[in-house]
Amino acid sequence: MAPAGRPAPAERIRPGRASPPCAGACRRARREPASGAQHAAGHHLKPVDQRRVAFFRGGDDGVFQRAVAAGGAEAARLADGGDQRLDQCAGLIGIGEQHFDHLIDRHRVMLGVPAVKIGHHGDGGVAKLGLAGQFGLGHIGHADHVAVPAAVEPALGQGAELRPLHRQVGAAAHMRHAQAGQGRLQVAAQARAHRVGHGHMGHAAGAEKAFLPRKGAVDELVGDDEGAGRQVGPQAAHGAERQHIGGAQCFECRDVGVHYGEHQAIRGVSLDFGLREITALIGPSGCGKSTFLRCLNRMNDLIPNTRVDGQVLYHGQDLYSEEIDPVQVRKRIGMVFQKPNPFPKSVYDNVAFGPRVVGMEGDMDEIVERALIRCALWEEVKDRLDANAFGMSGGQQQRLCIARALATDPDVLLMDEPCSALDPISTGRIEDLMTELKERISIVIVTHNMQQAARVSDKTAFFTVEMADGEKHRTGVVVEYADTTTIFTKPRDERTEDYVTGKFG
Amino acid sequence: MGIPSEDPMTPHRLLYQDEIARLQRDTLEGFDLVIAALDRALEALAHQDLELAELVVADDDRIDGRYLQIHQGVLSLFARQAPVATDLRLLAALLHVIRNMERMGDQCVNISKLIPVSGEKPPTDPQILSMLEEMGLAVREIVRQAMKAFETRDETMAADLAERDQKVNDLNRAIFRRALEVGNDLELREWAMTMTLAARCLERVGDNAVDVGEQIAFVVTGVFREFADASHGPVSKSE
Repeated sequence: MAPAGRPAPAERIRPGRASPPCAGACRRARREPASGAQHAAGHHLKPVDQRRVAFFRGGDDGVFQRAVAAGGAEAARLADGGDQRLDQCAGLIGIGEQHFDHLIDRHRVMLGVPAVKIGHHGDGGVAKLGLAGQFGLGHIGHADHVAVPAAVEPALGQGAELRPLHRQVGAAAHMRHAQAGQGRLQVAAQARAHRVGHGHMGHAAGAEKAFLPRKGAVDELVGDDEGAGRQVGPQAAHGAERQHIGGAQCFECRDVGVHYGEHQAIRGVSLDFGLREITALIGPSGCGKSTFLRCLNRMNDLIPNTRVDGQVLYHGQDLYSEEIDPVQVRKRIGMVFQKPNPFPKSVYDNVAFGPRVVGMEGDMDEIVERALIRCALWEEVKDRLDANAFGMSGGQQQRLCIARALATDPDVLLMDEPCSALDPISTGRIEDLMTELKERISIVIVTHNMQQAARVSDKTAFFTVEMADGEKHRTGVVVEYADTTTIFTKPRDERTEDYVTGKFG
Repeated sequence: MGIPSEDPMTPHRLLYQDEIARLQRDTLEGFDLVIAALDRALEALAHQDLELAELVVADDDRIDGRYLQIHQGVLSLFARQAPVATDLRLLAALLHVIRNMERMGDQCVNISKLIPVSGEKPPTDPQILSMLEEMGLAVREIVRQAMKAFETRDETMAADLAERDQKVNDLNRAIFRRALEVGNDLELREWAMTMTLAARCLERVGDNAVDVGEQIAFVVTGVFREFADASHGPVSKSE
C-alpha cells in the first residue's frame, strides 16, 4: 500500500495553448507505465481533447470560458446555460450521489457549485455511476481517475501513465487532503501519483487475436493529430474482427472479487456470459450484483479505494490487463442505468453525442437514425429530432439512453436496473427491445424485479449476501447460475428456491 | 411541439405472445401426429399389417416427446411470464389438452399391440370390420373437429364434439353385441373379443377429444363444465 513517489505539481492546463509535439515520448511512456515518466506540460491536445477539457472544466468559470473560447463549437454548445452544463457534467462524470457530494463539498473538484445530483439510491454505500460507461468515451473513460477527465490527463504531465484506478488504492484519501487552492488538476495528479500494486489480476495469455485493441495500438490510432480519434470508430475498431468472434462466450469471469477499501463487496464470482444472450443478475439488495456488473466494463475503476481481483476475460482478453485501454473497453461495452438520464439537448444531439466525441466517421444522420431505429424510437421521434429529450416520456427517455449507448456500436450492453423507474408498458417495450438487440449484442442486466429476469433473460445468476462476523461483513457471492427456466422452475440450491419463491430477500 | 408519447396500444411482450402461439402450434402438430398414428393403426387393423403396427408403436415416442416439450414450455411460461386472464386459461388448458393428445397416441399404440394377439390369419367378421372402419372414420373426424375448435376457439364446435361422440359410443356397443353373437368358432370369437378391445380404444380416443372440447370451452368462457357425464349421457346445450 505504499504510495509511489509524489510528482512535482503539474502545471495547470491552459486549453487552446499551443503545445510542442511530444507524442512519441508519450507513447513510449505509456508502454512503460512503471517508469512514472514525468512529462510535464507541453502535451499537445487533439482538438477533440480540447473540447473535452473545456467541457470538464466546467467548475471554474474563468477557465471554462477560456476553454470554451479555445475549444470550439462543441464546448460552446455544451456550455449553453450554466445549469444545463452542470447537469451534463453531473451526468457525464458519472459519479454517484455520495461521491458527487464528496467532490462538490470538499474539493469542488469538478463542478465548483452544487449541481444536479444523480439520483441513484445507494448500493451498499457505494456511489453509483452515471453515464460514463454509456459511451466508453475517452473523456469519461479516463475519468478512471475519479474526477480527472481523460483529456486533462496528458496536460497534467502525467498522461504518459494511463494505468487504471484499480491500482490506485488510496487515491481518494489523497484527494480528500488536497487543498482546494491547489486546483483540481493538481489534486488529481497527486491522486494518481499514489498508485500501489494490488492483488493478482491475471493476464490473458496469448491474446494475439485481440478483440480490444492494445493500448499501444490505440495510441497509434488516436495519436495522429490529423485524424484525432477518427480511426477508432467502430469500422476501424471492430469492423473486421466482429466477423471473427470465436466461441460462444462473451465474458469469462474467474474468481472475481471486489474490495471497497477494507470491505469485500463480492467474492469468488466465476461466471461465463454467452454471446448474444441476455444474462440476468438477481439477488437481494447489497448482494453485489451491480458491483459485479461494473467489473465488466471497468466502471469500478472510477470508484476510489476499489480493488478488483480475479480475472475478467472479454472474448478471451483480460479486461484488466495492462495492455487494455479502459476507454476502448467502455466503448465496446456500453451501459444503461436505472434512471433515464438523457442530456438536456435535442433527441438528435443526445444520440449523436457519443459518436461525435469518439470521432466516429460516417454520416451522422445515418448513425443517429440507425440507433433510433434499433431502439424502436425512430417512428416516434423522426419528426421531432430537434425537440428536447426532456419532453419525452420516461420510457422514451430510457430508450433514447439505450439508443445513445448503441450509437457507438458496442458489442455488449450492461443494464443496471434499466426499468425500475418505468411503468409496465414502457418496461414491456424495453424488454422487447432487449430481445431484439440480442440478435447482435450480448446483454447483462441487473434487476431487482425477479419477474423481469424471468421474462427476458436466457440465463440467470442468483447472488446472495454472506454474513461474517455477526452482520459486520456482508459479502456478495453467487449461489446458482443456470438457464433462466431452470432457476425459476427447478433451482438446485435451497437459497435460490427461497428467493425466487419470495420466502426471503 | 413536444414528442408524441408512445402509443400504449402497440402490442408488446412480443416474445411472450410468440411463445404462446408456438405452444399452440406445437400442440396442433401433436394432434397431426395422433391422426397419422390413428390412420396407421386402423389400416394395420384392417389388414393385419404387423409391420405398420410396429411403426405406430415406435412412432408414439414422437407424440410423447411432443407432450414433454409442450409441458416444459407451459411450465416455463408459468414461471417466467406470469400469465393471466386468457393466457392463463389457455396455458392451463394446454396442460390438459396435451395429456389428452398423449393418451390418444397411447390408444393407437394399444390398438396396434392387439394386432399380433389376434394371430396371423385369423378368421374375421365383415360386420365387425365394417363397424370398426366406420368407427375409426368417426373418431378421426372428431379429433379433427377438436383441433379445429381449438384453433379457432369455437365453443359451439367444441360442444358439438359430445354429440358426435355419441355415434362412436353407439358403435362401440354395437361391436360388443356383435362380438357376443359372432358364432361358435373359437378362433373367430377370440378375434372378435380382441376387436372389442380395439373398439374400446377408439371409443376412448373419442372421449379424449370431448375432453379437449371441454378445455376449449373453458378457455373461451372461463367456466369449466363437463359436456357429457358418463352416467347421464350427453348434456343438452339448453342446460
